[in-house]
Amino acid sequence: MKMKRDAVTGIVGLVWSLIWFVLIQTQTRMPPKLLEPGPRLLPYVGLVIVAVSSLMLLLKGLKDWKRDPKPDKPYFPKGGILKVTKSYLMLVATAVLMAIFGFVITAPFAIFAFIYDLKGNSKVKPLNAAIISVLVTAGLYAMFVLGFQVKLPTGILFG
Amino acid sequence: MTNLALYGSALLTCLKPVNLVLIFAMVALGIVFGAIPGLSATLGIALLLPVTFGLSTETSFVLLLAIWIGGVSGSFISAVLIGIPGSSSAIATCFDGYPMTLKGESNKALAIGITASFLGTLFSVLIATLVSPIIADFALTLGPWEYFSLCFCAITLVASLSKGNIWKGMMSAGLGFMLGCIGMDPINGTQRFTFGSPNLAAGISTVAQMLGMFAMCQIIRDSARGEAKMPDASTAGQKGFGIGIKDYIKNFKTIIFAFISGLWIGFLPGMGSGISNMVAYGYAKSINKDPEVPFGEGNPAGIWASETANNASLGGALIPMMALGIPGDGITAMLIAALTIHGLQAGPLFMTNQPNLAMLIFACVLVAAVVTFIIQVVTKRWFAYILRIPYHYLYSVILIIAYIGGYGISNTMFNIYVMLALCLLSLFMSIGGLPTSPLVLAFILSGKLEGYFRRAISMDKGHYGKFFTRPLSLILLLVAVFCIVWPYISEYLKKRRAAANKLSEADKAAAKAAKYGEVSDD
Repeated sequence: MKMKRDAVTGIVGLVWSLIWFVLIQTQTRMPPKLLEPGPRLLPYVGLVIVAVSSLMLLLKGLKDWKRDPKPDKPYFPKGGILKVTKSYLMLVATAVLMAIFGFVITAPFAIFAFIYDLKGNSKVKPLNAAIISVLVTAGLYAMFVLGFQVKLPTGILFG
Repeated sequence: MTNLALYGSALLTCLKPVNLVLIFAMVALGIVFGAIPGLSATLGIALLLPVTFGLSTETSFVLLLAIWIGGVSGSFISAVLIGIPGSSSAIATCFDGYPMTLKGESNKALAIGITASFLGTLFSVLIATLVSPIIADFALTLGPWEYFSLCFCAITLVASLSKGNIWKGMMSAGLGFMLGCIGMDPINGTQRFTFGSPNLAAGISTVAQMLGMFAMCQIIRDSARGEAKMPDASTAGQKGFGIGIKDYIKNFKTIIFAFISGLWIGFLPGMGSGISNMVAYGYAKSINKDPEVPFGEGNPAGIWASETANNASLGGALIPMMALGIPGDGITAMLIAALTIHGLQAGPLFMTNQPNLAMLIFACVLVAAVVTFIIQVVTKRWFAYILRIPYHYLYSVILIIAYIGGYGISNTMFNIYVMLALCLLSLFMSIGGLPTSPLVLAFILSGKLEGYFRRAISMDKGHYGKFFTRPLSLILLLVAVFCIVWPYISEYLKKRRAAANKLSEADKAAAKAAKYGEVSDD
């Protein structure tokens, strides 16, 4: 039987609170002789807020589950999780490729891939997409590098 | 130099040919971002922030403010033409705007949207210009106790207004605090959660956060959720401006109330145009008891109320941002981040130390409002074409601009990876039903909140009492507590009322049954 979404959010929040507690102990040092609460104050405030809210969400989720064991409507439609995972991996791949090959080489391929990923049921001609990808890359390069003097990734190979 | 003279000089700066061209271009871009459902002024500003790194502070603000005003004003276009609001600020506009379009009155509906937006922005920014310096002067007399309570109150207000459940809002705010902890602490410079990385020592970049959470996450999430294809928008019947003096007079009362409520709601942290349009619409309904056209079936008063209120909220949100350094919503949070990028700190000292720039911000909003009005009047007949831009091309360009922005923060790939990590966090938050606004506000205010609190304790030699003995601080803390407790009290009262109604209905039924019983006995 599937749990209510609030209950799952609550459990994840509680697990994260535990991890955060360990991180506070290992990643922040308290200077001695302080007149004020010190650098661990805000991390603890965040921890308490997340832990208490997670607990309340867990209780709410369990209460709702008891009242109505029917699972929540899925957030994504059928195939949506696969699609969002694919899109996210594409974003990561673009970042990695940009770090290696730089913006100018990666961007046209990335734009082409994004167009196909985001097109849904619309029809896209490969030639149109390719032309747009190259033109957009050139336009953005001109605008940011020549116009606004913003640096773009050059890549490990060409940097 | 008096404020008036500074304002005049700021207006002249905005009217310089270069700045005016930029305002026209950015307002036009903002209108496109506002009109297309899924895009927003917030996203527009997030994408523009990296562009401003290499520009002067004045030019940066001209760009950002122009896209903001255009974006908020443009959100009524899709609400009227296809019945889908460009953003939450135009939800109530759909109720009567779209029925008017279906009846062939889209020209009139768009004209009302344009005029109401203009009036709302124009007068609210004039009031903000007059009121902000006064509030800033007063704010200079406050201590860290009051500032802490104010920041705390702002965060609880935003969290308590979260859709569905206050705990979701609180959890989101807690995550915002956690993100805000990363880097050096604001009082004694201790490194927190940096894992020895020099990149993390400066903390998480606000720009990377905005780009990851607003641009990247929103695009891949909406695509995966398979948001329905947009209905076709009609361009028929666009002749003349569509409204006359008679329409203003007839709706005068609605406009005035919508303006006042929008301004006030915009002033309160977390309660921006998304709420003000609904409140004003509700009021318009209540004062028009017997309308010629019922509300929800194409009553123009509905659009007047909604559009005047949501744009009046802009000026309202500017007041706490300029005078106190407290963002009223996600957009003003980003504007504060933009000030920080240029080495400036929003708040009362900013108004006193940088009066030129403060007045430039007010003047630029005013000029942008006028430019928005002109552009919208001239291009009204082509609004429908904005909604026909193929999404997949537009979104692909936005994604690649996000990479440019992420890289531009520190000229390293590091912030691109931060952006991707925050995109993932935002994705999980969406699935869990956690709102992002409390996180953004808590993240922006975390440094201030911690700094004021610890400074206050240090100043009072380790004592906490002044938070409760200084009147304004106490009032703000009580408001914050009330915000947390109120949803529970209101739910309890609702339950009690429902139970009482049930009981009285049961009594009535029993009395009726007894009466009929007596009659039949007779």
